[in-house]
Amino acid sequence: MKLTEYFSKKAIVSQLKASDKKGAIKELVQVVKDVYNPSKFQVNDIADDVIKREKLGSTGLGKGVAVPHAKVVELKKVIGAFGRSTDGIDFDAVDGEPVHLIFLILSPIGGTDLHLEALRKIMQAIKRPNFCKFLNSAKGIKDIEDIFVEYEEEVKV
Amino acid sequence: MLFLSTVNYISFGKQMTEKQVKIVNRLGLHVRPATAFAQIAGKYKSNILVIKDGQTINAKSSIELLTLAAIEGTVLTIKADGDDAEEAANALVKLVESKFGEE
Repeated sequence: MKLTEYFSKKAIVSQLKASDKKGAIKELVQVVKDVYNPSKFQVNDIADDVIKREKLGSTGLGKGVAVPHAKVVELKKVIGAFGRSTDGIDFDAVDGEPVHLIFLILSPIGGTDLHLEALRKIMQAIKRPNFCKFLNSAKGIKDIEDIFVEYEEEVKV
Repeated sequence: MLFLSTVNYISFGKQMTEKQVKIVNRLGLHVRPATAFAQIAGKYKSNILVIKDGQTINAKSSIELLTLAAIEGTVLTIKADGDDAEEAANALVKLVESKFGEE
């Protein structure tokens, strides 16, 4: 799957309203609900699962990026939402730095390979020179979508 | 035996070692294991690389480890180079074999 499929335009938040970790997670889970409306999808329950997972160890992996995630019974494929906080959010990241770019990933139960594939996709992108810098300086949703689209075009070559 | 092979050699007075280890936890090398792996690797002075199917990455970066998308059954080669190479590689092999404390 492409970055643009995991994080479609409708599931991009260019400026998160939340200023803390829990709030940001809940905001993005709500976006998934609004965009995909998966069956039996309870925003509070899923957000709680993601937060519980964070307590086992932060998914803030450095570079100002976090990949909060959970497994969701009813899903058939990975769905996600992307949120940006220009102010930065304390995510207990491994490097102690605030997080600006949040990639929420929800995977089907038993879809271990799908989950790892989504992580691979995101990590390859954020490793790329300027990818995070461009996302951080993007003007809005359209800019962010363009960065995802351009990334896919570049890696295709 | 999960421990597949070990190669030790001395190069310019420095220790180098290469070990293979199979991922045996059900969920593979996901975020928590990758973070633990990078943290342990980071405790050693040696340069440590992880190789999977010709892809070589820095063992001290969880972000790079996650680009491997290593599922259960994947064989990784750990290549360490430095004064504490042997110790570092052994610690990482042990971590993987212990299933990262998972099932």
